[in-house]
Amino acid sequence: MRFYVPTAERGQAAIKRAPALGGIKDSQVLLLSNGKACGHKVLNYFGSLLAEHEPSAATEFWNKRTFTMPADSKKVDQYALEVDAVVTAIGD
Amino acid sequence: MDIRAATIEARDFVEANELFQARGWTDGLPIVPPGEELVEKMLSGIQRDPNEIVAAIAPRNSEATVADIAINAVMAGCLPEYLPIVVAAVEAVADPAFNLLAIQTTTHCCAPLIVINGPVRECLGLNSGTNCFGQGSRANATIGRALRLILINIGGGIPGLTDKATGGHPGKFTYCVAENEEASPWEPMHVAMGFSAQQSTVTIFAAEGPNNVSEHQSNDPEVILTWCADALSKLGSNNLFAGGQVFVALSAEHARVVGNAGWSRTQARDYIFKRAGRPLRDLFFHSAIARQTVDSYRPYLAGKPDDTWVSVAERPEDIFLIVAGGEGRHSVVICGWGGHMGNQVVTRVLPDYVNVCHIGT
Repeated sequence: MRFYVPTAERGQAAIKRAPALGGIKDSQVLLLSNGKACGHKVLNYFGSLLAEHEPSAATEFWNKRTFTMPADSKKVDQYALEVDAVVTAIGD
Repeated sequence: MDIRAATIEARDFVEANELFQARGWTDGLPIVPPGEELVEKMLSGIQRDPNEIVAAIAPRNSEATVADIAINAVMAGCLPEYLPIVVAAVEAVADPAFNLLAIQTTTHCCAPLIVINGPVRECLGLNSGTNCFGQGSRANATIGRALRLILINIGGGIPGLTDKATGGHPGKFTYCVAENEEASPWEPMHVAMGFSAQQSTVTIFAAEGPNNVSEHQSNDPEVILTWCADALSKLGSNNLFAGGQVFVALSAEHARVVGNAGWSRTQARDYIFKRAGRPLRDLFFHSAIARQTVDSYRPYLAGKPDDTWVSVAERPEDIFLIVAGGEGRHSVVICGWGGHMGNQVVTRVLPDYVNVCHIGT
């Protein structure tokens, strides 16, 4: 007997994956914390990975203090003028 | 019928069930295996293209088509007539105002509560009376379950992996109720929100479990509503720290007491709003960190005196008052996930054809 798969999988094109962070040599990356300890820990780890693999990239830590929501898009646009990439934490 | 969805082979329903369990495509309970015939029959309940994309479901952000939703509705045990409700519920949770990414992944216990209003309640046999938050109605049980299966299978809300609820609650299996409009002394909730009585609506609320308010003696509306307000005001709810919205489901009997005393829905709602909350000092009791948290979510409270009143909701309109349940003096209050964290109640209107009854004809 044939049954439908319930996961909406029709190939990878159907899944909107987060954009890859490519070409970050000599770039400045803003790590945007959300005020929660676990988010801070993940971003710190991300920063240490960057330092290890892309030592020419500089990271900076800011706190957006909106725990569960992406940062305000206007603010991100503003940050984006100042740095090359913004990595933001949300949720727990 | 051209249905663009992957398929899998199994010898029979029993093997299919085990296969779906092993793949993690269930809520833990057995499912109705979505065979081709059953899915096609399910799709007969809706007047939309099976391959039309309805919404992207967080956190995986896979795009759910009408057919994908139908497959999960079959698995939940829905009748075809329920499908438009399930599709509307999916559209509602995917509305950015609902912030599904956060609701699916939060450590909080919340689950989407589906509240149904309008003529469709009778057509589908939805329970709005005795034990309406409990077991017994196929429509309530399977519509709520279908939404949960979609959140798991399409959205990727996998317990322990992406669904990080510390404890969750039983409403994460199914959580669907209709308003007892016939027992209400007031206009139905959706009419109070601006829809017509001839329309049917689906309203979604990121909800804690139901909390009982047992009040057996008084014929004074102020007593019943004060007890409801008190039950909403517990320390530890997200509402006290982050505001937001709450639901109050007055039982038929409690609602009759309030209505017979001449109180309008708005008066009752405003009364609860004024009393559901606590002084600021209660939130900060022994906890400097709590002050930081409140200051983050509700910056306008920063530096305010300790006796400042903190309401569980920002505005009276954020108290959603419905009548649900049968005879008996037990009402239900339900706290939410918290509005200042970016989540709002969302309502969708159902297509008119759901208001024409077909079941049993």
